[in-house]
Amino acid sequence: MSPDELKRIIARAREGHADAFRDLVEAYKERLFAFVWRMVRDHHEAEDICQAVFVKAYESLDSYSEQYAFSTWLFTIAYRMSLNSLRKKKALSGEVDFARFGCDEQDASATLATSEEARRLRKLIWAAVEELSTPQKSSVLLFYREGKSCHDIGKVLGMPAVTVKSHLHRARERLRKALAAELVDERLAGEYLSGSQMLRAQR
Amino acid sequence: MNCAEFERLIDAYLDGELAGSLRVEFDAHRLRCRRCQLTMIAMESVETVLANDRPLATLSDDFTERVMGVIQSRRPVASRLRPRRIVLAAGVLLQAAALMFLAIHPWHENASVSEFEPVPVTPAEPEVVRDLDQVYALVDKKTEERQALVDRIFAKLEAAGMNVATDLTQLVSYASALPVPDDVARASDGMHGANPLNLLIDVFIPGAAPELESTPIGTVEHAL
Repeated sequence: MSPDELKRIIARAREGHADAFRDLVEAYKERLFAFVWRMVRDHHEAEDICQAVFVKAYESLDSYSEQYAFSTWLFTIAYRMSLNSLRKKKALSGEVDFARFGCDEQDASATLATSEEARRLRKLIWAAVEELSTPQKSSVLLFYREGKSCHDIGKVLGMPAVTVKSHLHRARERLRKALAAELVDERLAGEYLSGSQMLRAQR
Repeated sequence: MNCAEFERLIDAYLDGELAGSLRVEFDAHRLRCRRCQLTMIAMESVETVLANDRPLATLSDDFTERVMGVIQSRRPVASRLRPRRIVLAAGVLLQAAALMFLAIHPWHENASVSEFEPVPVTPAEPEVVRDLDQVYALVDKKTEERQALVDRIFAKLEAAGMNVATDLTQLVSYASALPVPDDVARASDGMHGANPLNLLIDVFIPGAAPELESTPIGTVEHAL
């Protein structure tokens, strides 16, 4: 969706056109769900939060400022609601059920290498991500997955861009340490190097 | 560049902030150091996985419909409540206006209008006119009070004047009754017009002096 088209759809949604808002839901629901699900790690909870986010967005559409991207605004609402959910359930990152990582993810990640080593590395990366603090995890997801700048991530998380940079640095450090032991196997590293290059070329 | 320096620059490299000669140094170390090469591979793998991996769970097929259903179900409620709120607000405002009207225009206690008679509804007068009426009423009241005070002062003065006149008359009578020798009486008889006492009486009690004049001094009984 081009910026102009997005602007037009938002304007129509503000006027009360439900079909325009439906387009917005369709455009952002997957990205939003991926982020929220990574935060709360519960399918139904993530769906409920996403639904609440869109309803809240619809009701507060007048308060949206075009100074920021619409996705940044949506993720801001989603992050706050996810935090509330985490606080309520005390489902912090340390309580992740690692049994959830497994064969289901093979089908979902068809673009990645499917060897046993690749699956092992992906599992390791996500496990390491789950070990991060909530701001670190959010920063990493928004930076890598959504391609947000530190400034925009700061807007979502409600903190200065410098603090986001610090969170990113610490997150990378922890991920690097978590992966250090695994990457002594040169065969694995070589496989992932080729996999990463292939994906980068695709993007 | 050693490994420690390389690791310190990894963030800047990943953020795309590394440029110039420092970037060349970074790349040079990366090419010849196997350990740092693996570190970079690990970080690039993290980036690849985080950016591309889809979540284990996926949204329900009817997610959009459910969201739109919630939105649609809330809209009628809001629109149904809005007129009701307007009517309620209007009712409250009308009641407040009626109370204000009654407070400003209290009904006379001895009004002959029957309580069963329909009360004519008259539009409330503008605030300015009502204020002027109050000012006029106040001025009238003050004027009446002032007039009453002036009247009281004049009455006091009149009463005081009458007392003085009476006292002077008694004084004149007393003085006239004083026994004086005949030669003095005769000598003063011609000076009646220039009598200072008469002049004083004329000043205070106009018309009293002529009455005294009617009394011939010569015939006054000169006896105590």
